[in-house]
Amino acid sequence: MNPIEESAVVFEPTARLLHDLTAYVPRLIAMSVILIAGLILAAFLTWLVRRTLELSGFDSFSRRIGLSELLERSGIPSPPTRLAALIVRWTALFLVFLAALSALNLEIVNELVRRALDFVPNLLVAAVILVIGHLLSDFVADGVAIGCVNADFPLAGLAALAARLLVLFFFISVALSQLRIGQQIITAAFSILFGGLVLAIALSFGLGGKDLAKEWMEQAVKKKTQPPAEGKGETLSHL
Amino acid sequence: MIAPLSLPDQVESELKSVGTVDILVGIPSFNNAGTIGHVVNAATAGLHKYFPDQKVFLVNSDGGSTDGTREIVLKAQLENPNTLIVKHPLRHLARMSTPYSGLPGKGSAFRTIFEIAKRLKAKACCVMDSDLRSVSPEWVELLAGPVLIQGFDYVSPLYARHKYDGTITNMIVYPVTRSLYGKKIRQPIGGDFGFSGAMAEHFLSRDVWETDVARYGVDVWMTTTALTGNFRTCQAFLGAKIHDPKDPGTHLAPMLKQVVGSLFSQMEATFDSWKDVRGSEALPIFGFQWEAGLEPVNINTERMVSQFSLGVQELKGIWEKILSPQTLAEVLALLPAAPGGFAYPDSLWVRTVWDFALAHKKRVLSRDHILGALVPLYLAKTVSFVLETMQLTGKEAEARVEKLALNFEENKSYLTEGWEAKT
Repeated sequence: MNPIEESAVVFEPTARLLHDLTAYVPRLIAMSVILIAGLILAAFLTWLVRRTLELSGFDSFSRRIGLSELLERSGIPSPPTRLAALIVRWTALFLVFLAALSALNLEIVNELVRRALDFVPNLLVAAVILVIGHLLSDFVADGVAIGCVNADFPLAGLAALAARLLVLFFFISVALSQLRIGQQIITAAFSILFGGLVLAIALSFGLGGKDLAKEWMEQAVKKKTQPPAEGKGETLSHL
Repeated sequence: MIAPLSLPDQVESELKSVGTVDILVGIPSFNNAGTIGHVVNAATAGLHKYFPDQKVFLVNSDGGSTDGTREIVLKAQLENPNTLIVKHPLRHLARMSTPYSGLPGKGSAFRTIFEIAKRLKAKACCVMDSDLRSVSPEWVELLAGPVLIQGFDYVSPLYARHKYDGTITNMIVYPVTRSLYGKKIRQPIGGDFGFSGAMAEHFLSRDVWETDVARYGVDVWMTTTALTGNFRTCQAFLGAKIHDPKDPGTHLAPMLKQVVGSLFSQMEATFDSWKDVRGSEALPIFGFQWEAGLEPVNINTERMVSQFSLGVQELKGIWEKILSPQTLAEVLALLPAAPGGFAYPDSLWVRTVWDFALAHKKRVLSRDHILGALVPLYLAKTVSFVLETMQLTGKEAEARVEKLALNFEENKSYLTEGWEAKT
């Protein structure tokens, strides 16, 4: 190998590296610009969301609908306004980060970004489903507890808990399906649990409580057709 | 502007042939074949006896009865007209039975009656429940007379009732209405009322006929509208009020939700009218007041206390969202009480009701849940009242109701301050 060839061996990779680096410089500059602008935009969006929610009384509204309580119970003591601002901030930063990576125009990075963006809507929908499920489970459990107490049913607490769990289980199943996690297992588990529960109730009432049911129905019919005899039964007129 | 209610063609043409009337009696109904004949006959007798020279009309506004209620209204006749001691010959009483339109309920039935009163330019009107067994001819005179003769716009009923009859009225509706609007109106949801033609037109002009007022909240709405509109209001003593028997236990929760829900909704709609009202004044009373022989009332206080106890056990979390911490602590401390010694102090009950009204206004929970959660507390207050007044006469028990109402008035600032607070 002559000296010229030797120098070519040394300089060629360096030149290639320099060439490649030179080619990437605009992309790196673009990435930096996106990152800096994105950070500023994220900070502005965070401020805007927080200010808007504060002015519109979002914290009071959240207290009224039970969202604050839900967050506290889940171990998140932040006021909902601050939490919403945090969510906006980190979502914005995440998107900025993805946009910045896209600026590099690397195949593997592009694929990663595409997949991440594909999953974001599912993640958001699953989160919304879980929040709705939690609120609805509270609503149903409260309704069952109140209804049972007003019907003088002693197992009101148990009935309310069962109703809450059933609603929660249903919504968690839907959320997991949305995230494409164990779809078939969840569907099967829900069907088995729900079907089993209905069957168990039907059997226990049908077999175990048939006499009780008969007696209760007879009393109900009697009550409907006959007013209480004088001196017997409660005759308090509330209105 | 509310669109006028359109009536069936046949009704329109019948009304045209009638022209105008002085007095109109309205009877809303739904499957009341067993009792409505008596109500129609009593009204007919009352109109003949007390208003022989006036042009009168009777209208039944029916919700689609399938038991022949409407036929009974049209055919009802006084079995023995000689029971009425009158100089003049009895005329046939013009009457009409028409189905009402709109949301199913007493309010829609009343709307049709108001509309007919307006078309006939009635000077005085009265409405009576169709399930009454104790209605007498005098009711027509007492309800329509103050309007026609004395120029009042609204006549609210007064009944002779057992001390334990009408406990929702006694524990909640009367004291709340009195303290809010500053008028001692004893039966704000009595069901039988008298009113002027102008009052009927005013009722019709309100935009409420697609709301709960059309379904079940019309009684308290009428009373509130009369009181807040500065219409001349009085009371008429009608004697005993005996309805068709119902099973009270089965209907308590929905009944309380409807009545108290309507009361709270009116409270919200009329804030500007009541926020500065303090104290209360008596209203003129017509009719000779006598002590009626009343049927005994059976009460199972043990069952009611046990239901309250179940509420303490299971609804604490819900009450926490509705009641102030101090009120909740005091409510939870009511148990355990010595047998027969259960007592729910008036001041605590007043704060309980005001807290529920505030929670209803601020919608801290679903309104249906808020009202449902009040039931065990109401039962507890009722038991407390029953135990306290067991040895008292009706008059003495009435004095206790007055004392409670006064307590509501004295603690009204608790409500107004909470109402105007931001959170």
